[in-house]
Amino acid sequence: MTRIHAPRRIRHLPAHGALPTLRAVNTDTSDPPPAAASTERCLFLTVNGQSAAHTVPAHTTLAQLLRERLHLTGTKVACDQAACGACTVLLDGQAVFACHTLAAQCDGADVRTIEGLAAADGTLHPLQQAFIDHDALQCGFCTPGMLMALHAALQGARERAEVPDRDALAHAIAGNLCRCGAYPHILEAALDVAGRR
Amino acid sequence: MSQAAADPQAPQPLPRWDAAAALAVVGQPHARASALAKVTGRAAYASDAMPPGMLYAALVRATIARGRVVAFDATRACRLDGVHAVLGPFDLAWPGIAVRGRRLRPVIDADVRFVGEEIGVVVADSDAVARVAARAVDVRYETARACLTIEAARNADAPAIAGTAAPHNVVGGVQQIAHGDLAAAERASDVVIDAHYSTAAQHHNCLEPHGCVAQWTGEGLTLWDSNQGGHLIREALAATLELPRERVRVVGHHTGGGFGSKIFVKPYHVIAALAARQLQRPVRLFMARREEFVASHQRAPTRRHIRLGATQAGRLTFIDEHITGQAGPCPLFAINAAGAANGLRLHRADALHARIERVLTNTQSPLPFRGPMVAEDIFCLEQAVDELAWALAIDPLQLRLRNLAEVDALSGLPYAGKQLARCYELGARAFGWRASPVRAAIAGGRARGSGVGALAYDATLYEPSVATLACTAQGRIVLRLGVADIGTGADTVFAQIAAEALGVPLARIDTHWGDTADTPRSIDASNHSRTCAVLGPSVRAAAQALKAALLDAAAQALQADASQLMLHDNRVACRADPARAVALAALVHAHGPIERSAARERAPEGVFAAMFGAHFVEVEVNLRSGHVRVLRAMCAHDAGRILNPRLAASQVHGGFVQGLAMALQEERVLDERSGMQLNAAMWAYRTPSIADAPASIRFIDAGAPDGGNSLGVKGLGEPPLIGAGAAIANAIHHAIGVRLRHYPITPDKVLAALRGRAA
Repeated sequence: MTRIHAPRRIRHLPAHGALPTLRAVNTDTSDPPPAAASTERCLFLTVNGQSAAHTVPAHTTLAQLLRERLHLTGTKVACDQAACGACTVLLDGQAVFACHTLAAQCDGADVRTIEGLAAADGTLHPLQQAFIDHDALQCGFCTPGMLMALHAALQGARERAEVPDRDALAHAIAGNLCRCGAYPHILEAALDVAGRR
Repeated sequence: MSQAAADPQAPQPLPRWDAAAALAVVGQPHARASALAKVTGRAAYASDAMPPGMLYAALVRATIARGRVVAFDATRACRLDGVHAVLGPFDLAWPGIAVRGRRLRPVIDADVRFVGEEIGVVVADSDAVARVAARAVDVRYETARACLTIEAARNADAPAIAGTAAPHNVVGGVQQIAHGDLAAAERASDVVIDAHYSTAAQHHNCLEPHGCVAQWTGEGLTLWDSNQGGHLIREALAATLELPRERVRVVGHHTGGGFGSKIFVKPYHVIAALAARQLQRPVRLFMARREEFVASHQRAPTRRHIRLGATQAGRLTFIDEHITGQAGPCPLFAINAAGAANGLRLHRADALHARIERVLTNTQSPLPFRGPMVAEDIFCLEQAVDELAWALAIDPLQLRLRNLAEVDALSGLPYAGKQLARCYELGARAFGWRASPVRAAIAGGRARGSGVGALAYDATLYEPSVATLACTAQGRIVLRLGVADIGTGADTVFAQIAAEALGVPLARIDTHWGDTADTPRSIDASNHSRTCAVLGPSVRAAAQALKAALLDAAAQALQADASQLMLHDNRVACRADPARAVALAALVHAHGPIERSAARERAPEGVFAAMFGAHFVEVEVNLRSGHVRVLRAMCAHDAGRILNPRLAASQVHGGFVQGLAMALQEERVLDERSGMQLNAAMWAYRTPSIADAPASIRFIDAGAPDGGNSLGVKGLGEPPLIGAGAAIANAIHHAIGVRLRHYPITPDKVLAALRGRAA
């Protein structure tokens, strides 16, 4: 396996100017971030096919909106530092870190979370079935993020008419940490779905 | 708690499932029971709990390493919109956690003993406001001289850290392990290895942070908590808050990683409960990632002076270790700082000696971390054994094979089962092990090498353990277990045992766990690789009792003798005429609930139960960058009977990856003047990603049903970590001809060592 660099999944905004900066991470400075002073934002969002308008404080992250407003708690927040991938969701088809994507950045966007990965009738996505069959999870906390990241990678490969190999699949989840170390089975499951096994 | 202690109240074991037992469900690679919930996002973790009206809490943490809080000014914090309460050391009579009849220091007080210690809490409408407000509290300290390293704490003029008389801050005195005549064994040695090793602090860094949501109702306290076993948390919390146990309910269906860090009640449990009671609202208190590093504990750093000797023929004469562990500020947790017993029982030698010192420091307390005290020990000792092999010019595998221990030297007992020789044999064969000189494979700026390392891990923790099985009015079998699902497979394997004992398909059984309100007390917590060995026999006994009760009930209904009946999926039928049958559901309708519980069987006497294993590893060292890649690993384990090979392989993969990371990349970096941690972030602390994992990790089942219990099971949670480090380090030595004795073996150390060798 070649050396892998984590894909960048923080979505950068066109220069709006008015939006607050991302929340500071792990800085131990005494200056509090301006969270408490933020104003409200109104946005329109389609989540797993359901569209609705939301009014949230401007500092609200996409992960907070999904988990605390919509109660879609399948999206996990583990590090809140855009460094572990547990919060990965699809934003207009692209894998992003929901903990470092502001909800206000997503106005008009289409969001897909783990709750929307299976078909409406409950039929599992092939990746979900492969994760069960290969035991590609242990504690399960990284699993939703892993699945969404792999789904985005496989989708992208399909659009480019490619069959991703081991390295490409590993690259797709190089930004997703699994503290239980389920990596071998995760890769087996992904290869299975990619048709490489 | 030890297996040597008499265990007269516990029931006699059932007849053993030996190697010849024909088992249909146990031993099969059934899918993980919680997998469907986990891949769909439906699995409920404590951090997903959001009761209506919930408030968010954040802790105020000390920014000095030792001293006292003299002022805790919440004026600025209280001015922020949405702040409900700011509570410091002087605002409440904070209780201490009750442990075995004693009280620890108050969960919040003015004394500061390490950077990051809890000194207050803020409760607010949102997580963001709570964290901002926590930083806006103005704290004034009176600082005192801190000891941040073992050396500083041992200095003659160092302050007494725990305030008690512990000379040089060595807590509990020097522990001695002594077996055999060391002086005589030294005289009989032809070769002696004498080397200094060390291991670093490793953080658990669970993906789901530590934390809980506390809610008070008329019934008492409900705590949604991320833990490794709710019953122990419930008991300790009830004792701390002086509540009857029945008034505390702990719920945690799935836990996003524990690795030893989520066994005990910690200050945040108590703080959340008291804040929720104070404010009459549910309170959520989860750690931010930074707090997972600075104040959620870790594996202790250790220093080790190891001497060992052998005759020219490769007979091990003695092992003599002097071990020092960094023990943190609290004497009660100091025991977790260092140990040596499992390394000493790994090989046979004439004399086995160890001196262990646990030194109090102003750093956070060590807590168990997967293979606690043992991984540190065996990472180093098994490197020293490798050094000895090269000094004797004997194949490292051969040296180990020549020194297999027949009995446990420290207890004098025979092993309940020991398949270490088989681990060596099967592992070496699968790996393709053959002896070759060091630096034999260097090409294109890269060097490859192979290494072997063995492990032993005692199976000696037992406690009262109950499993309950019931037949429902729908004809389903419900298995109730007071355990947590931390990802090991407890959700799956106990149902397999129950299905086996009942003779019903696995799909007929529903396992309930994770809520103290509807489960019996099955175990303190899932730790020490023992959940299967402690609880498994109880499950089997409860299943047999339920089966007998169902057959008895059916005997009445069918006017037949119970011995002529059999349990067949959802009904009881006559053996001679299976058409004569009664549905389980009908039995429950007629008789009311049918339920049976069973307690843990008697601990084995006169034998020593332990797990064994041997890892074979190939690495590639980049000679220009110093970077080490593990290419492949063959992990042969004696874990007794394997209940589920697919889940067992997952445990081995995960343990090996965590051990690899402990060997090569994970370490806490502290500023030695301030005590501040410099890498307290997910992106700064090198947790392994898929890019760090070897292309191939294979689990080889080299075990056999063990004599330690009637199921023949042992554990497999921790051994794969324990065996990883030395095998990797030995492979690095084989590749580049240099010893790297200080873990983690980071590229800078490899480069420095290569330069030293060339110079």
